[in-house]
Amino acid sequence: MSRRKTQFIGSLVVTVASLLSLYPVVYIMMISLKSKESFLMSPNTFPDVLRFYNYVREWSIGRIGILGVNTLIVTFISIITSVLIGIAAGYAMEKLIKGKRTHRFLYNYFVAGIIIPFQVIMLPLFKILRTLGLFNSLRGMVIVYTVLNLPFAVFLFCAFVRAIPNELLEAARIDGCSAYRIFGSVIIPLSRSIIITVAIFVGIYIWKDFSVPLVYVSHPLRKTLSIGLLAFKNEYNTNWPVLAAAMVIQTFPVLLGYIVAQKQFIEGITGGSVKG
Amino acid sequence: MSESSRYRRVAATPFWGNRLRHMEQVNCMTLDKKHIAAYFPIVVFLAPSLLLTAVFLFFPAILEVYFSFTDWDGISSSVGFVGFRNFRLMLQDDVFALALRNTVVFCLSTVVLQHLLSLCFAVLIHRKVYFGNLHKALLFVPSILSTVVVSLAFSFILNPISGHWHELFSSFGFDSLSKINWLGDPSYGMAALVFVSVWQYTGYCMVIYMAALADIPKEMLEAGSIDGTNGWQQFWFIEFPSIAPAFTINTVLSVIGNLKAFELVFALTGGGPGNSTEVIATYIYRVGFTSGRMGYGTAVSLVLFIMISAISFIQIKLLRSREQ
Amino acid sequence: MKSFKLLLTLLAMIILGSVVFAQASTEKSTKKTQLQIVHWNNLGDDVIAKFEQENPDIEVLFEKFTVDQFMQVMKTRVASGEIPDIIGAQENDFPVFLKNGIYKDITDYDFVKRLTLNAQKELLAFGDGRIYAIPSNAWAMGIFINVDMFKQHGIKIPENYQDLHTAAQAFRQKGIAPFVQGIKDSWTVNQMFIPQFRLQVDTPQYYDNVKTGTAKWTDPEMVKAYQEWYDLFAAKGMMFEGSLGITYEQAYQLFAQGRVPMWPMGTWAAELFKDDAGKPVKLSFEMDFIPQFGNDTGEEVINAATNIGAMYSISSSTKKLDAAIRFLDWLTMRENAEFFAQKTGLLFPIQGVDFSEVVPYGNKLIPATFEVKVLNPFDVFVDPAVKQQLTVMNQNLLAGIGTVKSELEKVQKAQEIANLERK
Repeated sequence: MSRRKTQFIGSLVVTVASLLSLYPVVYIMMISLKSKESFLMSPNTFPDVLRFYNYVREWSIGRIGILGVNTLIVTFISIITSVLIGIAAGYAMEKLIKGKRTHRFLYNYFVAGIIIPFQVIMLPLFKILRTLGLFNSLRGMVIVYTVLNLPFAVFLFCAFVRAIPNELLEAARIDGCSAYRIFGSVIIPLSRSIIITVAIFVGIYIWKDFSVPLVYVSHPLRKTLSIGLLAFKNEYNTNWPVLAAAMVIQTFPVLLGYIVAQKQFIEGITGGSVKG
Repeated sequence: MSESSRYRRVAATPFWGNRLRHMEQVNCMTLDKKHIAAYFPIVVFLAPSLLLTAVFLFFPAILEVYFSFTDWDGISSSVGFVGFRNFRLMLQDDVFALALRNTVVFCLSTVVLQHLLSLCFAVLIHRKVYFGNLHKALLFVPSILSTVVVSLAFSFILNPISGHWHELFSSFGFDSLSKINWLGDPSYGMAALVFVSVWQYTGYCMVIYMAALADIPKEMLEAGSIDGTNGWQQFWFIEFPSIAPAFTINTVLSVIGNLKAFELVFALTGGGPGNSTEVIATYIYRVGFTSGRMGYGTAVSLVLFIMISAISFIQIKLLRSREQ
Repeated sequence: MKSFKLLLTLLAMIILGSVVFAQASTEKSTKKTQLQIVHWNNLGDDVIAKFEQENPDIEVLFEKFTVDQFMQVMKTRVASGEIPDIIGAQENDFPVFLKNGIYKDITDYDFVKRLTLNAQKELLAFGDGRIYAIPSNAWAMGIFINVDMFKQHGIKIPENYQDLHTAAQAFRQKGIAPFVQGIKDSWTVNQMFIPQFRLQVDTPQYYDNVKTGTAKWTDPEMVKAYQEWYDLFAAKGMMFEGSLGITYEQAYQLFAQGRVPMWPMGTWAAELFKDDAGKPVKLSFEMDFIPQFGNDTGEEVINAATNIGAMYSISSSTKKLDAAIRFLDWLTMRENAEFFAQKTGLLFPIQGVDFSEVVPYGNKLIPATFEVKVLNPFDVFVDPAVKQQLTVMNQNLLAGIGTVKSELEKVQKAQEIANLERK
């Protein structure tokens, strides 16, 4: 098979897949521009009048401004804490701990952490948060999100740090660096790509999530965007186009960030992320 | 501050200093002076993660284990201990067995399809197609969407009366296909769920594989082309083995994620019609919250946890040995 | 090292900033009494605004969930002691919450007298002689019918249980599926329990007896009722094709497009018949709303309805009792109740409220809700686990899985487990 031919068929296959990936998103955008009755009557046609008003309505009634800020703060801080604490743990486990049994125990400990579904710990965790006074606060959400993402982050960081050649660390040690110095000046700079990767995955997870703010925050002004989405979902009478507008608003920042930062994004992931 | 100076400082304190001297006297081996101080960094680096996960993740999980031996209804403050009754009931529970089967089928189908397709796309794009970067971005987009968005879109698209697919199929004359009730017919429900799940995360997997592929040193590929390998051989004998670590991690995480999948199934079919698309996670929700049998629900989640752990550890062992 | 220090300072600043922000947002609202209300039905921003205007020292924090989420969130919060001041109460969970003392006894307050007499009677029965909640919504079961289709095919509009069967069979003979339902939304299958309701009318204690074991779901009367249900709804040709995969609103769509003769649904569905501007949708056919008949030919019409559909209760552990009482007192005043009903489309059972503007076609729905003889449908009194199994059974039968007998056996099994687990 000639190179050209493979390339052509390959492009075809990939194009079909991309279009398939894209079209439900486009569909949602289309819905968001229709009026409610036009949607219920004929959900598949293009809107003849573009109702940008749906977006305005969603923004004001859904209090998108405040919720957006909340979501940004929680996401941002949680990313920082997850990454820092995670990479510290990864460094300790892979480079500082000499005992094989300890290492195996810790490794299994974090894998078990990945397995535990949120549903299972939801109730008791709530009691704990409440006792500590962390219910209904952004701080509480940051802690919960950090904890939920830590096992996964540690897992990835372990894999990456393991691949860092020990010679580098020995050289630094001979130069008189303490473990902390090595962490700050050697490990972290080398791990830039995996840090970006983990940051991206954690960020996307938190941005999408609605289970945590649903249960752990009751004050309407402290909730996040994903909950704001539900403002228009009445039990018996949902205004689907406005709901679709809310979804576009929620997805838009991530999408935008992705398109703009695509280079960083891809470089971050491509720059030797998962080495095992 | 260097380690030896820190050691001196520690040795100067009464509490630690006495212990160190005691140990030096008792043990025949001389204590490595750097030994104790070497523990500080480990503790400092590990403490936050261990503490946080212990308090906020494992402690609640252990509490839940306690509840699985009770008949708690989820609300009352009084809780009755019932021993292993919940687990005995589980053995006789037909719906639990069905959910178990569905979960395994769902997980297997999704993981196999996802990774097959994502590897395929990764290799294709890696070997250069037209507009490669654009495709990479487009394929990644579905994984950004929240479950609410995805389930809304597909519940309308797959609607057998007015959905896109219905109209598409009927306009091409595929009448029987157009009438299929993707989300409401017990025989097609699982297929629809697998489809949506694969649709959402294939791009995500693909991006990870592309990263791993990009890491393969050029020399390896050049050696291969010198030997005259064709495309497929290059993949199977050079590229695939080189990305083995990424493959391990990716598949393990994928399996774990799909075994405990909840939101997507809940939003798309709710486990229905009847119980035909019930998976363990939705069953736990149904039993624990809807039916008010929280004790039983937590017992089921305990079983789920054990199941996932067993499968993951076996999988890790198998794949890791393959990596060598 | 420099970058490390930079990172640390950045981190410290951010944490500080977030703490400050979090503090600030609490500070803003501590001047007023904050009333926390949680419900799955809309309270209406306009209603809240009007209340806050007339009561400037109270701030209402309203949290709305979908019904599914409501159960999950409420149960989680109640179990941890974080209970809102005014709680939405649902009939199914009401007994459990009541038993745990979550609700406050409000029988002796004056505003309770403003409720319709039927509502008060039902509340007393529900709360064992005391009143623990205010209903925000009264609803009736019924069937939305396309009168034109009946006239076109010369079929008599049903007036009792037997007529309903006759009409359904007549449509089917002509090749028209008589019913549509949004079966994908599992709660909708519980809106069609007409034969079972008839059983309840005949032997009211039946559904209590299953709890004690003196009756079984597999007894002949129940099997017969469910067989009639099957013939009415699940047999071939009775349900509009594709109903299994469509949602509640998509079913409305089909009905509003004039494609089906009958849609069994409750009065709350009237809210759907509005366009974006809030005006009633113009239908291309004449519509009517008939009760779900529990009566035989010649008997007095009896419908499954309740005046206590969705309720507001005051938490017994609230620290803002005064504000909560004031809120409910304000809400039940006639003008406010009317305003609330208009803004939310709920049939708020307060004496003297004019419902003609509240829901589209209100004048058709009111008789079935407030004027015929009503009986609280049995599914409210069924154990949650059993109700769940009933839903599954209905869906299975509609999907063609299992037989009436085999599915009822599963329900009986669930009932036995529930009886075992109940203290």
